[in-house]
Amino acid sequence: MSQTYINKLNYQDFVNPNKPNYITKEFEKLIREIGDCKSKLDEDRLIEQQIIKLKKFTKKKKIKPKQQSELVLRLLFCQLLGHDVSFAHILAINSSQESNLFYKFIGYLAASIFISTNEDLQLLMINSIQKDLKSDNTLAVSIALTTITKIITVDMIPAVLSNVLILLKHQEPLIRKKALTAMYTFLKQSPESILKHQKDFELMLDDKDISVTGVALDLFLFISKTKPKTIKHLVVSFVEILNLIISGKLPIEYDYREIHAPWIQIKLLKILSYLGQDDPNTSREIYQVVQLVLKESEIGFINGIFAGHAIMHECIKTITKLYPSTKLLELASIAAGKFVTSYSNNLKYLGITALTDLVLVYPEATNKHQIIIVDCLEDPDETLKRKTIELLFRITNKSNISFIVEKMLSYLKTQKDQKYKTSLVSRILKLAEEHGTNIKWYILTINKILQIFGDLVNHDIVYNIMKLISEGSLLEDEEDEEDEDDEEEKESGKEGSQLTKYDGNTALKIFSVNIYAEIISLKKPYPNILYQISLWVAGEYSYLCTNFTTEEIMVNVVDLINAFYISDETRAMAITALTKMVSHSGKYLEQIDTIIQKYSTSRNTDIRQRCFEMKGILQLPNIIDNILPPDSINTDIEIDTNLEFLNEFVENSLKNGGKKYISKEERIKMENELQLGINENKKKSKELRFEAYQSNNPQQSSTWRIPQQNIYEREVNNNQISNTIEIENSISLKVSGISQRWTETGYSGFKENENQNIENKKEKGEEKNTNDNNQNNQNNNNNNNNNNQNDNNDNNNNQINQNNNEKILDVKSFRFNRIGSKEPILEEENKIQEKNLNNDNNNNITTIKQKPPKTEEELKREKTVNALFNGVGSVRTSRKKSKSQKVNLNSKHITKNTIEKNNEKVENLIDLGSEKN
Amino acid sequence: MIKFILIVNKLGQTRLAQYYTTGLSINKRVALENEITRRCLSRKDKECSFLEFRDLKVIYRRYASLFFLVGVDEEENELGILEFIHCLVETLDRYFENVCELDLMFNIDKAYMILDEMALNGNIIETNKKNIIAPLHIIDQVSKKLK
Repeated sequence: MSQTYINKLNYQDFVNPNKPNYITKEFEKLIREIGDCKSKLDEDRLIEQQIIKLKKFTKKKKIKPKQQSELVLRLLFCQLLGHDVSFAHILAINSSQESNLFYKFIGYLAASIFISTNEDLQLLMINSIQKDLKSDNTLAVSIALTTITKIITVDMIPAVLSNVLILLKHQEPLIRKKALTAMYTFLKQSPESILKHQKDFELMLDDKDISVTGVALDLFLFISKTKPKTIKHLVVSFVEILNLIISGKLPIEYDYREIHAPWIQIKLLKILSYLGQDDPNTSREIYQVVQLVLKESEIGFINGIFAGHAIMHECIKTITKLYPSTKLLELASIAAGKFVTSYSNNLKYLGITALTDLVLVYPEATNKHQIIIVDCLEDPDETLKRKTIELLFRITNKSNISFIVEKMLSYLKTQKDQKYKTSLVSRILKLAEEHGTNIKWYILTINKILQIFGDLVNHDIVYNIMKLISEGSLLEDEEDEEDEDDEEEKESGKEGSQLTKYDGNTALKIFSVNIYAEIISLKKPYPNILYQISLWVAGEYSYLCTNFTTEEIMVNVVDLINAFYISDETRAMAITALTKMVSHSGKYLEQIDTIIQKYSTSRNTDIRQRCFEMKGILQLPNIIDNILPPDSINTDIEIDTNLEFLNEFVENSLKNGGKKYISKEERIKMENELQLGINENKKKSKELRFEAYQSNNPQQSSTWRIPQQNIYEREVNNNQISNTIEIENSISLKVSGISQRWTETGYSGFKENENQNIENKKEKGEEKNTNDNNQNNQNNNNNNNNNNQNDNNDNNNNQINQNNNEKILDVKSFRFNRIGSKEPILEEENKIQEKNLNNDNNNNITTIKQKPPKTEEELKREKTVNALFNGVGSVRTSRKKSKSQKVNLNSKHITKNTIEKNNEKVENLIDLGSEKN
Repeated sequence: MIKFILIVNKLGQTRLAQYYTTGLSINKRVALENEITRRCLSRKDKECSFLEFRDLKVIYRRYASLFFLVGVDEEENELGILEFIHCLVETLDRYFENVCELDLMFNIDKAYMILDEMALNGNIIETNKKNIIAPLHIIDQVSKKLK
């Protein structure tokens, strides 16, 4: 950092600031006050006062340009400090339309800053921008172009594009440069329309002013990212420009700390890296110049100035992206080494970043620097550490995994950011899983992680560990074991000798149960997740444990159950583990009784449940082994998903008249159709029920009555019955058939049906058939199909069932079908019904849907008739609404098919009704 | 690409803010500035000048009481930006002659103009100080004639 500037930029040094002549006293006061604010609160209060003042000004009709521009500047301050000044945005627009260049400049500047919060401003400005683009004043044009880059939207591009294209050939480099920046803005917003003019800015690459070329490069950088193929032919030009720059042929003003135009070099390197990506031929054209730039950049290594490093870093990035060249990669890794070994944290950071990319294409890059890299983790700088962690994730392999994981864990302990910690823990776990060579190491490492960060871990790890222990084997890595874990072997010599006796899997189980039994015995407030694994392993394999006896483990588990630091979930698992241990070992502890007693009344239902389970199981010593066999995780349980053992039961119940199972989809379909039918019926029933009263057949009339029921309340007014009969008589209806079923308590026929339905379910099929047939014969003389099975009868009446032989399980539909079957149906209608059955059901539905809405006349008619027969309906609706709806459905197709036929009759009926009234 | 350039003082008060991305409401902007400033101010001198924040990288440099913060995307060259900040300060210094915080406040318009001459659309467009300052002198001449 440059010491000189630290001295110059001194806060206390405001005795003699460069105070412009146009600043008023009031403005100066404001600025000084803002400068004196010691806290955000003071500042906010000050600005709020200021805004109140400014609001007064904006209400004035005429403001002088000078005052206006000053107000705009004050507004700018308010916005800068985070206050909304949208009330006065218009002042900025007005100011931009002034003829004086200074006011115009202030106006444009403020507007372009305000605009990000107010999109309406853009449209207001487009006119003055268009005007200024044609101005003779270079600066006015420049300011307008600058504003374009900040405010333009896709819709506005056509309004200014032609002007900007002309300005690309302006004699002033300043304008050419600004016009190009405007083109860049257009290109970003609408690439297709601007790429047509690519030739125009290709010419700009050869501009005599290098700063214009520099801006043109921005456009090509954008294209190289999106459409690299379209500018491959320009690679030669880019290489040429780069050569020109490093050979020092530019004017000296473009040098920055003895580096020639560093930012333009960086831009060129970026473009070349995109163009050479995955393209060996282009890459070969680039290799030489990159090598040259890399070499040149070293010259600029001056203390505190990073321009040379910046270029070198860009070179490394480019080399990583280009088609790999071993020579360049080697150079790049040397360069990255210089960064990493540097004194400055900035350079270290970039070195680590560079290596992170480099190792992907050149894994040897980090070989020499591993120790330095790991040291970076010890640095107090958080940014550097995080970057280093990223690199470590990439360079981890089987040989350094244990070292790196250890370092990462110690880094993790210092972290406070929970979110970052969580992600890091899961990544470390993944790393251990991927690169861990040794199961023992893996289990120990996971335990270590769980001990400290158990709460941050995804629970999947529990199942992974369980699976590993139950299925994994120690044999594979026993050889490594001897080299690495000599100490451990000696410690548990007993275990070592036993290892050889068993197969790998058992050895692993012995190893892990010893570890987890120990964890349980430690009785430390570890995270629950660790205890859950421990308890599972102890429960499953306690009999294999060599360091503890089962009784010891059981005592420890009992202690754990009583510990305050475990969750209910863990406690429940502990109880199950205890059950398992008792059943595997056959040994029993007195404390278990206490546990059962204590937790049988636990508030947690899971714990209670498990207690009762344990109690139950322990009382059945004979079958304990069958319930909880040792190593049950590896015993495959055959699951008969078809539930074949139930077949016999199902067949029996079908024989006994049970209904066949209908799958959920079918049921939903049926319900939908039902719904359709009900809706349809609601519309029609009113028209159609009158058919009955005209008919001389009383049984026919009952067919039509039932649909009425859903219209009225089910409450029965007994007094109305006599009236009803009177009415019915009066319209010359034969009620002899009805009177049998209609009693004072309601419709006895239905009750009969209901009872029979229930009986039918209980009784055997044959009996039911006779019952049904009897009934059918009684009530429905016309139904020919009734001689067949009862089921067929259902199907005939219920058009929903497609298959005549299908048995229906649904009790509800069964019920209404049965009712339906009893309804006497005219022979004629029955035929129509049968016809419908043969058709596709869906067709039926569509015809119902297509029924045109009722005309006004029809509605009127309905109303009259409704009023007339109100009493009849209310008597008939003594049954539950839902049932009656289904009855309605049953007769739906009948009603549909006879609509036309009935229309005449209905009309007659209305005449009758009105007479009656 | 540069996402924003901020100048704040050591108390965290914003002295200049230029955004190259749209769609940031005032409240969000203030919250972002506060958060970034707080983090940068808490960093020590020896630590590196980069700060990874959400999806952007903040490169900052301190000059006495003023912090210059530049937010960039993933692909920007960090050291390039670090030197750009220095170039900006040098230019301000050349124009204002011994620039101080109050200079920037009194001449906020000029400060913005210098920035606009050096960077637009989030790209560095000019680093030649002579070229940068030339238009400013014209504006100065115009403003001096004002009554």
